[in-house]
Amino acid sequence: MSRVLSTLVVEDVPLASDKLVSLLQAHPDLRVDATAASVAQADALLRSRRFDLLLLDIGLPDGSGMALAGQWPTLAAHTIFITAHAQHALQAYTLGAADYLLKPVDPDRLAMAVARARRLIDPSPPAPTGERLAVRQGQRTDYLQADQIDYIDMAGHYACVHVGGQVHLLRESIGQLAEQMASAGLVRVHRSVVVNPHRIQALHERRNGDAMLQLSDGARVPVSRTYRAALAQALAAR
Amino acid sequence: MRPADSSPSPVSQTTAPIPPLRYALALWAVLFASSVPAVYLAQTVGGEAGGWPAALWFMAGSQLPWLLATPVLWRLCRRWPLGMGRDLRHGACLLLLGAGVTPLLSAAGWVLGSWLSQLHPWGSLPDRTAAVRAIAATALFAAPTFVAVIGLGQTLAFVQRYRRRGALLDQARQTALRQHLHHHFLFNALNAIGGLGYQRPADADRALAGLSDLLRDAMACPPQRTLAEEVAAANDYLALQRLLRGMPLTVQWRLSAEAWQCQVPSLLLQPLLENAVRHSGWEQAEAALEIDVRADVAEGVLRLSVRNPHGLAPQIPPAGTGSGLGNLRQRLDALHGARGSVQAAVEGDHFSVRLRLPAIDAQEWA
Repeated sequence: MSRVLSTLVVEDVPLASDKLVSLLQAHPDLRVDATAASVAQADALLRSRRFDLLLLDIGLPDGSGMALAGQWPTLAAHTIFITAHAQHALQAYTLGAADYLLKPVDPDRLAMAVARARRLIDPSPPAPTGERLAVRQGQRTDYLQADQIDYIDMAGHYACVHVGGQVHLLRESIGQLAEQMASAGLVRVHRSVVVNPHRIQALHERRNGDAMLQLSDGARVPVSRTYRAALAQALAAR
Repeated sequence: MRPADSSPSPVSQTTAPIPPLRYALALWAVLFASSVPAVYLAQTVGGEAGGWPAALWFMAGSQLPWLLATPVLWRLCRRWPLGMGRDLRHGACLLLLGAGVTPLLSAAGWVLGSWLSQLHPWGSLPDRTAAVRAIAATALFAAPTFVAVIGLGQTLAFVQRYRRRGALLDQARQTALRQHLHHHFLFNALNAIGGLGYQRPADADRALAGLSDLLRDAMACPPQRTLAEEVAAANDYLALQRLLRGMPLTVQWRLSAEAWQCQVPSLLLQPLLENAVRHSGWEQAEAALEIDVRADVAEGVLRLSVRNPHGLAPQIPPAGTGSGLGNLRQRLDALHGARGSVQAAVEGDHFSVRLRLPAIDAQEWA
């Protein structure tokens, strides 16, 4: 088990703050050590001690959470922004934030954000492995064989698993899925795409080392240059 | 409380129609200003002196029938638009129209012009062959005029359609918002979330987040997006319905790779799924409700269908009643004309809606 993350929650509305604290209790791998209700309080706490994870509201009574994060650039990767408006997202990711959640906070989405932050903080997670993927839809769960999967891409906040013309929507981050399915031979080729190397039919070069993959079902997915090496390896191994 | 489902105002009232008469007058003023000197110069070259007043009167007379016919021709352009499907048929209609209308208007114009300019006063009409020759020449010279009038008419029709699209998206957005906001949905949802709060606090929280996602999307989605994004938004709606109705709702998404990346109007699926859930006749303690959504591309056409078991009294809602289906039909018509269609049908114990629209690949390398 990896170390417990010391967490600071910054949120001015007491009910909202309590909600976050109680949602975080479901995560044994982190501990809320302090809460702050203003930029000044948070700043004082950050000066007094070290925190591993910061849950930060943007609209605070005495200023903006974004400005606070700007003053603590080393904490950016440890910060999850929580706000009612989508318009600050770009700025947050430019700062290097771990994630950006919209209010009201969804417990599942919070869990994804915490997992993402954990991966950024501790880059060696106990990678869960699987040959099979469980997709829940209401009371029904479909089990997808890894080798039957054609590719996975993103739409909205879903990972979309394509299996022979059927699409299964899964509320999980693609990074997590990529890790989970790596042992089954699926390979990540883009920020938002994971493919089964056995389905690759052609590769078309594009600019700057980026490329486009044509899959056997006719789908075309982007490849970004960051993942070219992994792709080459997977193609050689198949 | 006032009933919230008062049907949205017809689109024709929300967009100001382009005043065709003003454009027709402008067009003919330009043509008149350029043709009068042309006729004058041609006269002097030909040695047949009529002077400025004659040229002026002649052109005024010969262009009057065209000016009067222009609004009618433009109305026909709206009926036979080009680039919206059935191009061959509409083009043929316009050509036939030209073949009939051009000689007719030219002849009327020539007679009127000649009479006004007193070149050939009633008493001294030129002999018949000369008149026929002159009219034939005028008609042939008028062919480009016909093309120009139709061209401008098609442009105006296009602009009008373009404006209408924006209005229709606004309307779809309003309809979606209204459906979320009116007491059937929003207040029931809030009430159910309160109830959930006692039983399963975590689910109540999830439902609140889901409801916010839906409202956010309805307020801010772009006019068009990929089917993939549309499916994701529709799935949010289904997830919320599952939570709030305790409904074991499953959807089979059978979507071809080509269809997945096609561009579709936003909020296309949601009204269809809403109908599927609402009119399914599903009751508590019954088996799961299965909805089948399929999409594929064949010969440049995106075919999309939503199929669900229907309730006891299957009914195809009449078109244009402010129902989701009527609005969808209007939007597809404004976007794609004859190339888009919506068909609803009862197939045994299932109800299905089939959409057809041009397949537009949204990927940048398309």
